This record gives sequence, structure tokens and C-alpha cells, in this order.
Amino acid sequence: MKKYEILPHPAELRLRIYGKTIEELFSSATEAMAQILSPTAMKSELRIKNLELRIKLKSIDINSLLVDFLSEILAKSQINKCVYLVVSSKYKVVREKHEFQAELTKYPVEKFDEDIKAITYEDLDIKKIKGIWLTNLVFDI
Amino acid sequence: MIAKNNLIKISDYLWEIPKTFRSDMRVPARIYASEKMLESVFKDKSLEQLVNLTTLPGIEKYALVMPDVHEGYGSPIGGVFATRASDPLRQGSSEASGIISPGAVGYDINCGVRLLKSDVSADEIKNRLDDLATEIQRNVPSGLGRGRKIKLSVNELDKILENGAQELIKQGYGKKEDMENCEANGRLEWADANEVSDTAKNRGRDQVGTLGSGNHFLEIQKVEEIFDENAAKIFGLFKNQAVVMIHTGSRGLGHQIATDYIRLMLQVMPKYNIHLPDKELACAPFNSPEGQKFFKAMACGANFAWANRQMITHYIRESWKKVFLNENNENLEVLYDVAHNIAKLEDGLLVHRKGATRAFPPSAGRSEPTARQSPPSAGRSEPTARQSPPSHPEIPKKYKEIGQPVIIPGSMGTASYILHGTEKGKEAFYSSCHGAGRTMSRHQALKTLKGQEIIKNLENKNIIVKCYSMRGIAEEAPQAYKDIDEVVEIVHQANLSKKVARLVPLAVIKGE
Repeated sequence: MKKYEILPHPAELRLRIYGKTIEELFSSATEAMAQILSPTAMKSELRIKNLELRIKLKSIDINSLLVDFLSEILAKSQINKCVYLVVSSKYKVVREKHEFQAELTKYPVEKFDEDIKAITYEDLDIKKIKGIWLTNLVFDI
Repeated sequence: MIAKNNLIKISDYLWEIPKTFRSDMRVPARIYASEKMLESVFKDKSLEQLVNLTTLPGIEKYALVMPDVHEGYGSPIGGVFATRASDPLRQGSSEASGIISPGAVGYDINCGVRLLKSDVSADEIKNRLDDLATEIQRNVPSGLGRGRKIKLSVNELDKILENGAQELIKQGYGKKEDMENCEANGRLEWADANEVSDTAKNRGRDQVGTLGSGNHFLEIQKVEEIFDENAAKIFGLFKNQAVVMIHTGSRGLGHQIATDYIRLMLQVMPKYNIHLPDKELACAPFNSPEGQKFFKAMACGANFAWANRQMITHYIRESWKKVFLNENNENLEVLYDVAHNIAKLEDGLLVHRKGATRAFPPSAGRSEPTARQSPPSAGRSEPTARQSPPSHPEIPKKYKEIGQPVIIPGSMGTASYILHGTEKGKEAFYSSCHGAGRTMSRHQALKTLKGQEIIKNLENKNIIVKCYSMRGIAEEAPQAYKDIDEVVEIVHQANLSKKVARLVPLAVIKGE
């Protein structure tokens, strides 16, 4: 199953993200962002072991949770000059709050291919269709 | 879907979607476009996004879009609206207080343009043009790599966030006149660095003096045509003059401020009984604690952007001096510097512009302007509408007679324009267009256009292109944009601003 595809948008970057589970959907979105920021970084053998990032977030709904999660990774990517991939993750709903925790590994980047400014809510609607979780996702570039 | 039969024609260049079009509209929506250009507006979600703007609490008169409109997120690009900034806070009430919306400013806070004027003609620099473009490219990094070698401390950055371009001028990276010829003198005084997150600061620490990517560029241009001799004289422009245009914004710092505050606004909207058709327009009452915090943080982002363009000005001057050593032509003066993405208090209203240029009119006969947007006060001013300034206070003294310079960058390889503001612009909250406006997605441009061919076409027109990325060239190809001449003609004919000069590129220096 493909993890993401690029859809038309007049100015920004619109993607469709897929996953068999919510965790996989979030992982696919993280990988899509990493590929856009630097398609070559993950091929590098310079993967920094033992420096994984741990993220734990709560948001008001699942769509906001994805935006918040990717926004946090994007900021860390730009500050630390690297891209991240999800190694393991867990999604749950506790007292109407949507929670996501993940462990990520990072790959250093010499120069980003794309300057993603932000993760937007435009077109974002996580839903399950025929057993597959999917959503559109627009990056401001 | 919105179709032409939903529109009322007000004039040859102005159309209206009435308030009755959708039940949640608080005011009508207006579109500045020719009949021909209108066709392209129906092709994307621009007008749905425009109608969404009309639902914002406290909106005044109408929401409108400029002729370079295209689909964005939240607000369409080219969107302008104003909210009542003097509304008292009415928490939980069904009566709406005027709001402030980070999403309606955009992630690139104070994305904007600055024009530098030389004393020399394009003919006088043509033999060294390639050297100059190469030197500028070398001196001004895109910032997509490891940034500048110097990383500011948080303390140094805070000074820039609160003092903007003025801080860099104080440090020797420019002259007093640069500040005088900049919107708000390069500093929004109500900026408060305490309202900017550490994450945002860390994203910006190595980005002062970096260009960014996408449609951001530096261009060496020449004044090809003068439309208004008197205005050109006041602006210090002459035919065939060599000028340099800078188009960039607040980089990662501004992007993070917007991200942080959209998240905050989404959390507090229920408290203020605000319900919107699009989350990306998340907002809070302007006079709420959250609204005020964003206004102060946004001012920091705007100040950072002016500082960024100031630092780039310094690098361009250094490049120019190095290439033209001992040729006595190193003078580069700032014509003006103006924001495209910002929210500001103007005549008691909070005017949001996302991809639109402020275009203040001549101020003869008006109350005496001051250099400040908000009035002086002890310590940090509280930015409330009550303190709103007299009309149009930010026009430099020397431009009062003709109005504010309006700088409109074209797409890569096409013309740019200088216009001046008019009194008629009041109907658009004194706003004008901000560029050509995309018609083709970047993805589509990459699939159908080849970077090398575009460079060849530009070279055939004697335009030098400096860009490390062929992909960047293809994405920003002129074919991906509307015709800038048509776009500018609409704001000119609609009298929102009037043409002064047309500039054509000699050399383009792109980010990535």
C-alpha cells in the first residue's frame, strides 16, 4: 500500500496520506514530510543512533493531533537540521483528549530541498474508508 | 461551487457576492477582477475561502480579494478584511467582538518587498552584471542549509524581535534613511519577545539575512517605463535606472509564531463562542488576552522580517561595493519596504492582509501624521483601538504629496511595478495587489516545465538566472503565474493605486 501521493494545489503542497492504522497514518505523514524536506537524507548512512526523539502530545481532536505532531517534528527538523522517521508509536483517546506518543529516529541534512513553512488544517479530515485511514494534508511551502 | 451568476457586477473591475449567498455570511464579499480574469478565479477554491472570511466575527463592510487572488488555506492569497478593533470583549456572548486571526495573516508574517535604488543606469553596470549577481548569490544564503555561520543568542534575537530593522541599523548594518523609508520605520513598537516561544526563537536564530525558497527572490532590475513623471521624480526613479528588489519574509521564526498561535486560538475559540467554517481561520477577539498576545508576537515576526530585509540590504550593498570597487556608484537607497502579510490597526480597524499590499494615499489635508502607528506611551504600549493613530501615519514625509510607494513584484523573469496609493483605495481598506498570483501548482509546473529550458528562455531575453536548484526554477516559471501586466492594470483602472513605473529584470537570484 502506498504511504502518500501528491495532489494538485495552486500554490502549496497537497498530499493524500494513507495508513492501515492511525499510528501508520501518522508515520506515513512523517515520512512524506521527511521525503519532501530531503529525499536523500534517509539514504545517508549517517543516521544518528541513540539520539531518537520522543514526542508525547495531547490535542482537542485527531486532526489537530496530526497537525500538532507534524508541526513539532518540522520545528525540530529545522532547528536540528535533520529529518525524522517514526520508529514506534501509540495513539489513544483519554477523557476526550486525543493522545499520541512516538519514538523517532533522525537523519542529518546538509541542505533541505524544500522549505516547509507550516502544516495547515486545509483539507484535513482523517477518516477510515474501506479499512484504510486516509486524509489530505496541505503543507505551506 | 460559486459561479458567475452568483456575482453582482459593481463596475468593470469590481464584483460582489451578496450577503444572502450563504447563511453564515456577516457581510458581502468583493472581488477586484476584470471579466477576463474572473474566469481563472473560478478554477480553484479562492472564492469559497473568500466567503469564509465574511463569517469572521466583528468584520466590517466586506471581505475582498485582489486580482492576483488564488487559493491558499484559510484566507485566499490576496485576501483583505477589517475587524472592529474597538469592540469590548464579550466572552460567551452571541454578539461578536472583532477578532484577530493568525491564519488570515499567514504563516510568513511580514512577507514583503523592499526596493533599492542606485544612482546609475542599467547600461553602466551591464558589463559587470553577472559578477554582481554571482556575488549577491554568494553573500545572501537561502537559509535552507545550515543557515548563517553566526547564530544569534536569545538575548540578541530578542532585541531584533522588539526593535526590528532599527536594531540592525544601530549595529551598523544600514543607515538612518533606510529606517525612514520602511513601513512602520522597520519596527512595530508593541512587539513583546516574551510572547514568542523558544521554539520560534530557535527556528530564527540563524536566519537573519537569509532569503528562503519558493517565490522569494532578489532581482537586479531596470526602470523600463515611467507612467507618472511627477510621482517618479518624488520617488527618485528615472528611466533605465538600475534597481534591486528584495522579496522575503520572517522565515522559520514567523512560521512558528503563526503555528503556535493558531493552535492557541483553536483551544480558546469555544470560550468566546466562535464557530468557523475553516479551522485555518482560527481567531480570538482582538481585545482578549489571547488576541493581544498574538498581536504582540506577530509584531515580533514582522520586526524580524524587516530586520531580515535590512540584513540582506547590507549584503547587497557589500556585494555592489566589491564588484564596483572605485567606480563611485555604490549608493543604494531604499525606495520603500512594505509588508504583504500582516494585521495592523488603521483608522480604528484591524486590517488583515494576506498577500496584499498596503497602499496609503497622499496625506495632504489630513491630520499631521507621526512616525508611529500606535501612540507613544510609557514603556510598552498596549495595542488597543482606542490608541489608534491619526490617519495614515506611516508615509515618509517626502512621499506625503503623492502617497505611499506600492511595490508589486512580478513572477520570475517578468515585469514588476511601482505604484502609489490613492484616496479611492479607501474602499479596499487602502490595499492593492501583491504580485502576479499563481495559476499552476508547483507540482504541475514541475511536471510540465523544465528548469533548463526556462533558464534558456530567460537568457534569450538577456536575463541572468542564479539558482542552485533546477526544481526551484521550474516551480517558479512565469508560465505558472497570471500576467502581471493584466493584474496591475486592474488595480490601476480601479484606482486602488496608480502606476508610476514598470521594472524589468536583468538578473534573478533565487533561493532554492
